[in-house]
Amino acid sequence: MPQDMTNPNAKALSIYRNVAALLGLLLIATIVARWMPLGRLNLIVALAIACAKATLVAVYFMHLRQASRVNRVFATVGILWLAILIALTLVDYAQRG
Amino acid sequence: MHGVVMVWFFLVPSIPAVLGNFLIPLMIGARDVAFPRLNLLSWYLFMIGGIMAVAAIVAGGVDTGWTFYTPYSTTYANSAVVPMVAGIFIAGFSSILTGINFIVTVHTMRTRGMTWFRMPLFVWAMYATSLVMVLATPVLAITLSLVAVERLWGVGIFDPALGGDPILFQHLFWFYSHPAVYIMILPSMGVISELVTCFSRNQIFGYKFIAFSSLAIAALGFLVWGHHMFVSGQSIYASLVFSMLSFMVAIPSGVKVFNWIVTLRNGTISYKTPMLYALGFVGLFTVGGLTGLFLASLAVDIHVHDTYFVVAHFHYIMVGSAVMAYLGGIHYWWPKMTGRTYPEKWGVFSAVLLFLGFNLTFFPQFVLGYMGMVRRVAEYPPEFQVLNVLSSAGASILGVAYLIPLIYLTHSLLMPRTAGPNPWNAKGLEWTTASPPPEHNFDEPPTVTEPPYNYEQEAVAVALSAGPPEEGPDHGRTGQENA
Amino acid sequence: MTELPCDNLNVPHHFDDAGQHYDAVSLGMWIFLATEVMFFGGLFTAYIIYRMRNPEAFAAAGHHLYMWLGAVNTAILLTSSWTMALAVHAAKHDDRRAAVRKLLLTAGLGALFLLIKAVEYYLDAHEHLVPGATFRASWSQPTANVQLFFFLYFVMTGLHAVHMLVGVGVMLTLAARASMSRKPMRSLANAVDMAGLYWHFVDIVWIFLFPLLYLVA
Repeated sequence: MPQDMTNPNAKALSIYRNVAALLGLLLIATIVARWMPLGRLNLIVALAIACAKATLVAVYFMHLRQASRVNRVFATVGILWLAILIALTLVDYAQRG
Repeated sequence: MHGVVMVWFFLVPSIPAVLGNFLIPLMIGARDVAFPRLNLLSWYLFMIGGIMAVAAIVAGGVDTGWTFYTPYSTTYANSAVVPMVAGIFIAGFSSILTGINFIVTVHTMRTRGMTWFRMPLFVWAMYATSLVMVLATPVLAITLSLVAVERLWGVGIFDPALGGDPILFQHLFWFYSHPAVYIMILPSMGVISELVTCFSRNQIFGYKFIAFSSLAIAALGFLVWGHHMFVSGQSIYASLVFSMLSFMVAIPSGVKVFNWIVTLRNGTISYKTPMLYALGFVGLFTVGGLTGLFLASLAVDIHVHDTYFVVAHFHYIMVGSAVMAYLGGIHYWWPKMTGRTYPEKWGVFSAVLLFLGFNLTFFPQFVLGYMGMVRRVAEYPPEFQVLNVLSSAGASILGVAYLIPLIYLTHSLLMPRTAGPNPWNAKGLEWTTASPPPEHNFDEPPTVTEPPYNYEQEAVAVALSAGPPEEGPDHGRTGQENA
Repeated sequence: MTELPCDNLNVPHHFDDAGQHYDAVSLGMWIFLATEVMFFGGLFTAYIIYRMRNPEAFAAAGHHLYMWLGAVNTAILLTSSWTMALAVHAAKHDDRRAAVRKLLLTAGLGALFLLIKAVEYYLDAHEHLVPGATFRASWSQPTANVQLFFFLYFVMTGLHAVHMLVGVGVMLTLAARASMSRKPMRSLANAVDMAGLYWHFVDIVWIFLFPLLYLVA
């Protein structure tokens, strides 16, 4: 890396590096958790860790932290709408055989 | 097949593609949409999808209905399902790209002074439509892809023999297709807001209510899809939830109708062709919308599901309302788009003929449906004959009423461009530029200082009483609006 | 908040300035990603429903996937997201060499992912796990609900792989354009940025596919 970097530049790069390291740790956690006998909690733990990874990627790599409000709204809306699809479909399936 | 062509190749694209692309940048004072090349791609995709659909029709068409229910469409049908769904898939992406373009355009390209609440209601309606387009259409795309895969390779997730559930197809299909009907009607409602204000020379009553009701319809419209599945085997509790939500989604539409009526009541109405279409819309949409509530009611739906009652309901909305709004919009903005005017007397005649023909065609179908005539069958019991014949007679009249504007509008293109910038003396940025507009829409980007629909009560609608002027002094305002 | 690329170079005529241009393209990309969420979402919905109805069949089936290949692929994709972020950073800071290198690295990691996926598919086919006439689940009869799992596995990872392929193509194209162009690197910053958003999204899809398909307990 060039030595004459300004501070914000170095800061950004170190953030990326830290996030990448954290993602790696979370991946290890995912695999470790898989071998732990938690019964039904296994799925919840796995998805929770996946959500954490996804959030890190979205906030830091995809710059949602610095994004405009409307971009953040649309990022949320996508997930929210998928949640609607899943939730209302489950309303049917949860009550059928 | 009639359904496939009408839904995906006419109702969904018509107002957005023909009027939206042209008007949205004009109405917000922009030079163009945000992504002009994406817009062009959207056009090419529409054409390619259309050609595939036509090819499927030539190859024998589909007998699955536009709803492609499984397992018939995936396993048993011997018709051109795969090319047809491929055509729809491609046209769906045309829709998605248009939606992205419009949302970004409205967010980022409004001219100076054009705040959200100074935008014409047509833009609000198109924005809401675009939200639905981008969120619903991808689900259709993946669902039809799964149908194609199951048909081509014999395995899939809708096959009961493999543990699949045909009702899952219905959930995924209707998740798109119910919001799709709002894609088809929201733009029309936007057109009506424009027509009603201009031809009653009045501000719109309840601007914010109408604006927000478009957003409410877009959002609530995603929560009601199960009302198409009341008799499919869906759980009764889910049906209750969907029924309740379906009643709720009627409320914002009602808000719009009330506000238009009050706008009309407080204004000075001039019965030009676009206004006749708009008035027809208000009445017919009320009938269509209210009969939707009949269908949202579980007990009634059991009786009329899959009968002509449903057919009549949605034709009141799609033909009686959406098509009338489309024609009203075409006539209203024809001078702006082409620089030419159309013959007003023929316009009035066709509008009235259409209204009469439409009602003769579809009102009997409410009765037929209630009496038990089912849909999607080739023959009906003899006791239904009279009403069916009346309906067919109405359809012939309807056909003539479509043909006449086709002729005179095409013919007008052979005439010189004499319309002038503002033949209707209407408010709105699109009327401040030439007809047709220059390539970058405005000679200079306008600055907006007025609220929308800033009509004053005019004692005598002088400019309008003689119809759009053939030539002569321009009654509208050229250049920028005065403060 | 508007992030301005350095100047008003190459702003298309219908925009007022680079700030408006950036706002438009970034919003456009985020909306497109929302549509992609819904596109994959249909498959995730189907997966959730069927897993809820057939928990044991899905669990048993999931064991026959190559978990370690999946884990390695996850590590590759997460790393590629990092290199992509570095590429965007370099592009915005006008550093052509670094940007091109990181783009190629990202593309390379993506290609490696696809290679491993291809190996996996080959192994799966070899074990008769492809739904259809050749399907044979040695551990369970009848095979009905088990085929559902594998159908979803192949379609979901297959659709993901198609998206990866497009992504690799885009990265290579950008790298080629950047290295051959005489215009400053920062004039391509928007393109690299938006391509990066797409790449990260495809990574996020995999982040969810991995536990759902490979780690069914």
